[in-house]
Amino acid sequence: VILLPEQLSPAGWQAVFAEAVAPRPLAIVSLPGPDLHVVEWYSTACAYPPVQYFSVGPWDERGEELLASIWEAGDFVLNGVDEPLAGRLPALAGVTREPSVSVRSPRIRESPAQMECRLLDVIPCGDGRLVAGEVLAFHVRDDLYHDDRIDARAYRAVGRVGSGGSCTTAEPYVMEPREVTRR
Amino acid sequence: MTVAREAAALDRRAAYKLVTGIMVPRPIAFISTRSADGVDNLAPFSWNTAVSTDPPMLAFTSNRLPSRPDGREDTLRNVEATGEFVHNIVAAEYEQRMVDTSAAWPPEVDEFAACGLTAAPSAVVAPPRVAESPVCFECRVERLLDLGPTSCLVVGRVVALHVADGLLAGETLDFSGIRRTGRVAGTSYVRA
Repeated sequence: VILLPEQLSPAGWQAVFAEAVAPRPLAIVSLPGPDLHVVEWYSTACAYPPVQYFSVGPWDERGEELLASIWEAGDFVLNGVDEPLAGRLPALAGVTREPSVSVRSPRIRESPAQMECRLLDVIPCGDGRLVAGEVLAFHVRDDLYHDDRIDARAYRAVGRVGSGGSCTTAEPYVMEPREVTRR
Repeated sequence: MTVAREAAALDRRAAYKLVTGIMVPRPIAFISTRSADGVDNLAPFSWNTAVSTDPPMLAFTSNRLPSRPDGREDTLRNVEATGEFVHNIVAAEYEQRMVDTSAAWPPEVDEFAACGLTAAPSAVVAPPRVAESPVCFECRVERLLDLGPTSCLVVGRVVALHVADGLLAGETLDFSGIRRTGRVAGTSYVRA
């Protein structure tokens, strides 16, 4: 079946992306104000120096508010989400904010891994706004971090699938490239 | 207790391990491209996301200075030369062949043929799609964004969508039957 862009509404495309571009990592964006925002259209734009970005758009319930807060703050923290923290979504009632070392935005103590980011740019892209930030500092719960690596099994990070599904990194499996005969 | 690491004090490898270790699990964009001289290329990228719904757009990051010679530089060269790519999603049924394409294949090798994957013609763009993939997005490059010195963010506008016949239930798409492969870190994966 072939579908052309005009055959689906923006909401239809959102649903297709949610199903097909998965599993998606989650991040909770924390800012100086009281509000917390979950983003799942996020990724890395540059390896070194590390630059993270996420796209804010009509699919975010409070997207305009999030963009305004980020402009005002000039920084933000991306907090990784494990199973216990995912269980407290969407309200995230009672989570604890603690000071960051490099930015004004606080970190969420209950998150097992956090990235302090300085806002680099907000780039319009269709109906999305790409919010790009350079990571200035990383924080990782010490039982997850050995030899510069994060232990995915212990982290139990949660990924989103479709609109309501999820999975975790609790039981990853290994695949290596096979010796395939070259033509 | 938490360990704090300042990014400026990290070398490239340590920073990479932290970014890729925190942002998990990741979807895999299996990108097919065609070079200016007509050689097809396939390579997996796990730094990717949807970025827009009107018009529909997807983005993936390609490193400009690859840490290993795995064909990712071929993808970026082809995208820059032709402005087209196909974003194929990875299903568990063919995940090992996706991993095989990430070996160090030279530019003249067609990873479709070398790794036992089927190149099916696309409807709008020149690069073929992966016939084994249940969902393929044909894309034209909308923007190439350099948000850092070592990588390029490739933003593509979807010009056609292919879904496997089995996913169409009447007028609606039903994805409940597909098992997707996601990337964790290094050589580890999850299914969802």
